[in-house]
Amino acid sequence: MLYLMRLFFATDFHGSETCFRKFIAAARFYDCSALFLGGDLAGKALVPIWKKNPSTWQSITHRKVVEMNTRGEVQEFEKRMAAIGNYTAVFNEDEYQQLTSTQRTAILVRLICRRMADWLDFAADRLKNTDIKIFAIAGNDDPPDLDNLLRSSSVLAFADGSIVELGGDLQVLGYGFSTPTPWHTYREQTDPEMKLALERLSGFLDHEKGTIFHLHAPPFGSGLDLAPKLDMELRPIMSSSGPVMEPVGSQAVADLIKECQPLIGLFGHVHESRSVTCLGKTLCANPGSAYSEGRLLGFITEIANQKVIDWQLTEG
Amino acid sequence: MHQTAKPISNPLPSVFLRNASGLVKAAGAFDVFAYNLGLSSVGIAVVLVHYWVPANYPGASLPFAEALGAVVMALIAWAFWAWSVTIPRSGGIYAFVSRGVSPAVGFAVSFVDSICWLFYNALAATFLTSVALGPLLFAVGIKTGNKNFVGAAIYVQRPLIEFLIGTLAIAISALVLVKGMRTFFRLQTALFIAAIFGTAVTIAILWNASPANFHNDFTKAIAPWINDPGLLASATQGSIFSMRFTVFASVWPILSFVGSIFSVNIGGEIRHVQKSQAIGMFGSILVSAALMILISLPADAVFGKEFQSHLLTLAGTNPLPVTPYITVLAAFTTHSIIGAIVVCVAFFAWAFFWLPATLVYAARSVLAWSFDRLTPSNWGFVHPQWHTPVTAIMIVALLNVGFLALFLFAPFFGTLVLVLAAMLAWIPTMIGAILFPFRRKDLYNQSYLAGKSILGMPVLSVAGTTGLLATGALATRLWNDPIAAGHSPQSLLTIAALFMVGLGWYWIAYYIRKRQGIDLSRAFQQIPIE
Repeated sequence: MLYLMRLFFATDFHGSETCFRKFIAAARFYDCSALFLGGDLAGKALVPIWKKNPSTWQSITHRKVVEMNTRGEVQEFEKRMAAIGNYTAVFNEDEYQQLTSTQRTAILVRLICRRMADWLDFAADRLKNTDIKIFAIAGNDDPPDLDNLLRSSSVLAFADGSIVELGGDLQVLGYGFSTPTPWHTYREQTDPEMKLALERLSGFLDHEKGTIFHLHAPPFGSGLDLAPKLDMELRPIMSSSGPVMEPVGSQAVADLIKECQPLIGLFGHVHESRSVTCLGKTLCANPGSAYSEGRLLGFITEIANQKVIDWQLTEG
Repeated sequence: MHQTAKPISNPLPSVFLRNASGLVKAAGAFDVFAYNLGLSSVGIAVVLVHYWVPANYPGASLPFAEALGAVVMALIAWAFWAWSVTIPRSGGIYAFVSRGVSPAVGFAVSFVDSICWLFYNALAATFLTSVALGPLLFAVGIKTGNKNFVGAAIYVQRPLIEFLIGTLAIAISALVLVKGMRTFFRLQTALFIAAIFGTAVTIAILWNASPANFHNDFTKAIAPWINDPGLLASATQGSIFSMRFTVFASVWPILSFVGSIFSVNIGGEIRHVQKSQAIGMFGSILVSAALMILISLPADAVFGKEFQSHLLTLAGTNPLPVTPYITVLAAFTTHSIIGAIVVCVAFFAWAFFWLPATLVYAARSVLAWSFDRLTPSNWGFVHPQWHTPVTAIMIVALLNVGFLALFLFAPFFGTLVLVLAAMLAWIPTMIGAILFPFRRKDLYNQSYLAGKSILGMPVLSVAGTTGLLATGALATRLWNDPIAAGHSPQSLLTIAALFMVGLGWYWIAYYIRKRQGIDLSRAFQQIPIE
């Protein structure tokens, strides 16, 4: 019997409320039976709002001061910031200035967790009475605090560091670490470390089943991992045809794909490397990310009887 | 909500950014400026302007036309700037039109645009010999009295040799691109330095040249090939300034300034996009215009306008060993052989610079079409070792060699003027800019320009209107100017055919993919936010 399954994959939302809401809507919009949520769910910026006087608030965006005169305006501003992945909090002007970097990071992590909890409630509400499940992993930018939230969700299968059943003789191997970055983020491993972890994990694969690799780090040199080459000050090096690009993916991931030849590899991490390619028999995709513009970049693929029927990149 | 215009001062709280990957990965203003300036190719523009304008636009002031062209291009650039800050992503007009107007029109416009620039890349490949190598060998031959060099100058300009040299240059460009961006970067840096240095030397030579010495040396150099020496003798007087022809002549420098908006293709990789794109686009127009004016002012003074106006006739009625482009003239304003070589090498570098850069431009389009499933999937193949889109590069390089062959050996192809097509491809982009704030309020309201208005109209719409007027005026001038473009039936039919092929391609791909179960329109549809 033909068992056709259409999957939708998107990644690297970095806190963008718009992207997450579109992602949930994508299930119905593209008529998909499963959603794959890539890592780097957490945003990066805390935008302070401070009270200037009892009826005036101020904040900053695009390096300019924004003045708000009603609570409604404050809410509208907060919504606008959330849409592009930023987090807001109201402070007294002096209070915020006196916070150390560690204290600000702690506040940011609390806000990240709160937004994730809201997202999971939202997803549970929208996907209730459906068979649609979300298969998620974390990313190198995601604080470990998120893991318990993701693991405890009823609407989501947290596949990070494990193998989960998808149905239809398919299994998902998930892993959220990346190779070291210049920013020293939460989940980084050297290639040898990652190789060890991935080999241990792949030892549990059922070889009778079709496999989907759901990994944050793209395979090295696949064209899915081209990021701007940076100088010592983390500025991109330019050529006459744009920034000089270099592969930043994982050799361990590339080796594992060569060895296991899964049906599909779903990757993220490198936003600017939106691409689809084949590594041996494996169809590999990185849909990229444009979270800061509220655009959902995605990848649809159809699988039937352990074979990939077709694929399409989307932008919605 | 009120947003003040003043920048934030230090004592105010600032946005806190935690340590996270990818916080800094965009090009700065200077990078964008250098990118656009290189693609504006001042050298090619100067050659074309000084050869074609004096003969066909009597009384036109070249410096004035260049300044005027810069103003018109700035109006067009404003629309592209507004687009790129509204949709700060890579992909250029394909991205703007496919998302802002319709996917079919977006593909057709991108297809026509890519074909046109590949067509002109073939022309740039012929310039390597006709503008640089030929004049270099000729000047060295005359200055050293070695006839072999003069013979070599004539030899390299035979169509077959020109084709082989052009093909070699395109092949080198393609191989460099296949080998990786690092090699390409090195090549482009070397060419850019050579071009800028050589241009500076050319300017210095021209400013210090003596008109009398030039005319004496040049006349002596080409005397063996001249049937009518009186033509040159009568060609040193001045001519009366004509504002009308100056305005008409301004389309020529604009064709070079077009390079100043090419940074729309890397919009997604630019930091502080509004500031960087503004500096990159308007700065490159300003500097290109300044360089051209710095060459044109002394060139007009040394060569004389009337003399330059006879160059076309001179080349048409006498079997000259080289076309008397400004490279040849400038090489005879100095007695130094090294000086003459540097002048020619500068123009060689400007022409060569274009080749790989245009191949990259077209290959990026092919890659984008492939990912949108409008072409076979393997067109997007990225080489596992070199990390470059080998198939896309090879496709555009082969197409380019094909155009070069047609250009040199098919008389019909040599008469085509497709620059009008490139301008027409901009018109949907401008119309898209006018309508975007109304058709796609959701996206526009999230952009940098949200809430900003001029006379109550969204900035993108105003910039689109201004750009449309400027593009329309430019297209009208090109339509009515048989020297710069014109509207010969064969060119118009070719342009129409290109647009039809683009639209036809999209719809054929659409139906093929539909039969395969892929709905292409799905790739561009906006998902409603739950």
